[in-house]
Amino acid sequence: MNRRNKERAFFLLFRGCAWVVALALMIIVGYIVVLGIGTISWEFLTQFPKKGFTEGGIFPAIVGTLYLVGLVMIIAVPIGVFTAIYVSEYKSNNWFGNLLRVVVNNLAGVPSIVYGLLGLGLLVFFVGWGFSLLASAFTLAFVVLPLVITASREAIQAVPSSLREASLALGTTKWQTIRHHVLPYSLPGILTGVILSISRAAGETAPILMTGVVFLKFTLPQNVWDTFQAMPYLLYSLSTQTPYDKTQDFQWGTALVLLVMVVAMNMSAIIIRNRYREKYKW
Amino acid sequence: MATKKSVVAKRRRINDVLIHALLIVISLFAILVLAAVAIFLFLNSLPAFVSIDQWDFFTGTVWDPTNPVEPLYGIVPLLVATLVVTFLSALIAIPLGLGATIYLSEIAHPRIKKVMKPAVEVLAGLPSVMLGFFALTIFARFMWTAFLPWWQPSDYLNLFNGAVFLAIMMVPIMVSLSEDAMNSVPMSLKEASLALGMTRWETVWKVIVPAARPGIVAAMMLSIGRAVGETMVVVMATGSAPQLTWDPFSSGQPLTSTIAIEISEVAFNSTHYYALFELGLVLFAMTFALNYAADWAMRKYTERYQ
Amino acid sequence: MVKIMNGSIQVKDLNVWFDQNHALKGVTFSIPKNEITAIIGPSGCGKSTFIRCVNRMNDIVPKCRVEGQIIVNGKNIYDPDVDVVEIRRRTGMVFQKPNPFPKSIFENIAYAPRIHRREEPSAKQKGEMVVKKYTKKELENLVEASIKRAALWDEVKDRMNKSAYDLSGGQQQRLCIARTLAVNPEILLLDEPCSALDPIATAKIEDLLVDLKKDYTVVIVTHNMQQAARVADKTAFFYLGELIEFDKTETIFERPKEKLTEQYITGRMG
Repeated sequence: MNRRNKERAFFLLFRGCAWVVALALMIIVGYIVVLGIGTISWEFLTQFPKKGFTEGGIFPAIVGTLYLVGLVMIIAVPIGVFTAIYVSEYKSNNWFGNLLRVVVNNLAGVPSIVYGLLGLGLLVFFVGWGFSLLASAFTLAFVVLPLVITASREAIQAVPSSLREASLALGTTKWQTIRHHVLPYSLPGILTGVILSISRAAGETAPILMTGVVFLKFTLPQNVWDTFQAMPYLLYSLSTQTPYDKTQDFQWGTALVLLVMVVAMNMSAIIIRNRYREKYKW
Repeated sequence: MATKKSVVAKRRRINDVLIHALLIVISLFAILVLAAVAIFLFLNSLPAFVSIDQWDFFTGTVWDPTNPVEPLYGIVPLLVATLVVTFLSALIAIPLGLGATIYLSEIAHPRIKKVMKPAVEVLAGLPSVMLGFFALTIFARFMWTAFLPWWQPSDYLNLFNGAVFLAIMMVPIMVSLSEDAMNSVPMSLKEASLALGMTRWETVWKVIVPAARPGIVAAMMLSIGRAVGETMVVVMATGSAPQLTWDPFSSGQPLTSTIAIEISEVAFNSTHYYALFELGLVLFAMTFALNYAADWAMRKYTERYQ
Repeated sequence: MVKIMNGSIQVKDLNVWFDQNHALKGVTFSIPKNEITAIIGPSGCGKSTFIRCVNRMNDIVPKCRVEGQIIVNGKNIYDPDVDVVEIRRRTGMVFQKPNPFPKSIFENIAYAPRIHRREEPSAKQKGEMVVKKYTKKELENLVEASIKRAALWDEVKDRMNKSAYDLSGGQQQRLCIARTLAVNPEILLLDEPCSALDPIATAKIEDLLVDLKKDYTVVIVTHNMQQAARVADKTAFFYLGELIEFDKTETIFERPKEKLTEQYITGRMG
């Protein structure tokens, strides 16, 4: 086989790989949209489930997910952004800075179920919060923290140092320089990271499974110490613990709602990031 | 309002010091979390170290903690399941991911690239429970009936199903990291190769990919780490029978799956409970090692291009 | 704008190390006030390192060690009780590549004065300075005065709210000069300010510097000897971290005392 043909063959193969991947996405999304769209209705989104998930809606799971994600962001975003500021802006060639860098890299690699075990043993039992929204929120915050830190750190480090130097040379303090020059221009990048973290938190099941989510409750969570329902866990429970022929509508409906939520967030993160790259061509 | 200049200067200095201190305190949180994971896993495994014979734990071939007569805690079936599922998913995801990466970064028309790259990112964002759900409802049924007159998987829910969907989760990681690695190869190398009359394929395969190898290796390590640590896909797709088997088309119960399924059934403070923590410790050690390997590969990668 | 005291700079035995690299060795000389002093020398001779010591910008470089004294207005700026932020306000710096903020022209100039606010002698306590906030009108006047002083007003007066990035390189650099003038410095440090500019823009800036020396002490690092010959009153020649010769510009260029200086001037090295 001559060289030209060899190239053609391999490139065809690689194109095939890319298309297989694209196809996988299309099939999965396609099934969920087609099979789930029939179930979506105002009722489905705003009512409590009835008659063993054959009637009514998934309102408590939607609300639970929103509460959960809100709490996770309140915990993870300030800590993550400020840690990223410290790592990027302050002298860190000392032991503390290096340790911090190693730690952040490793936090990202810890499986989410291990965080779940931590949440269970430490927060639910040892600290005594019990199975609760708070325990789950903190556990998810652990999962999401490395994402926020990494995205924020990259956004902050992308601001050219010439701007920092210009500000310092005018006689402003380090914190003033960060507040007025570094943070505003890294905000879009930070926002992208935050949105991706929200998307991740909304879809995670293992950490909350062990720390506070329940299958069915007839009330919404009253406070942070209460148990709650959430869409990912609902999908898991419905598909593994209820008969398919009875609850399939709910299953596909839930999958679709979850899909829409996650894809919407991911797409907006991508759009923000692209527009930001256009705007700040240093 | 007028304030004394010396006061302003002093206030400003105190402000800066306070903020510096505050940032240090906040950054401690990240360190505390990782430390808490390691320490807690270890502490909660101690009772297991004591009440379960560790030799049997690591070499035992039966995992049957709920047996009323003789509870058995051998993790070999769990490790084998993890191994089989990870190996299969890597077998699928690595070539697929690499091929897709080469296509996207070297061959694809910019307009196609514009659509495909976000598509890969959307794929990356799909929750694992959703993929598990699809595997359980559609894919398992497909595999069970599609080859019917000739062959059928040994079990409806099996390790292969899990591997396929783990691969779907791994591909975006492979693609984004390998792409970064390949884009960082200096243009000058590419141009030198083409100027010597090599075809694009030869340039890619013999110049660019080898030059990007540390980054690609890091991508592989991280993807495998993801596969080892992923829970929902395997829980839903591979079945829940902790049997020792090398047949990819039979049910299996990898480490993550075991923890997730059994944790809701254990009694707090029972031996079983602590044994699950010990499983968590093993899992943590495995992913930590893979992470370290990826990091080492990345360091070799940045060294090359200084 | 308030007329300020001009500052002379005395450098005494200045030594700088970057990790193990001894970048500046025992530099001693006096920079006179209200004159333009040029620092020349081949690449790597320590010119930029020196100038960044004068406003303590080297403090932010990790592993940088400074010994010796730089005395401005009778006080050593490296004394431990000195307020670095105040030093930097009083010593304006313009960088090699223009670095305006990604804000409007007006905001670029107004940013620092708004933070520093303005000083006046206290009515209550003799000898103390008091800090007051600028009113909107005062700020506008300050911005206009700074831009006029930097010879940029005619070119930007109709687009004060447009982005500074829309200006040409030479205009951006004059904007950066205006930005430092707005905080009322005594000393102006310029680190190869024209190396990224075309000859016409360069000429405009050189004319501006000659005008500015009436009110400020100007120190300019340049690798362009002709530039030094054109604008500087005094010139310092650095080589490999040492100050080889410091004298009136005509002397340096026509009758240099040191052999090394002569070699550099005549182009036989560097």
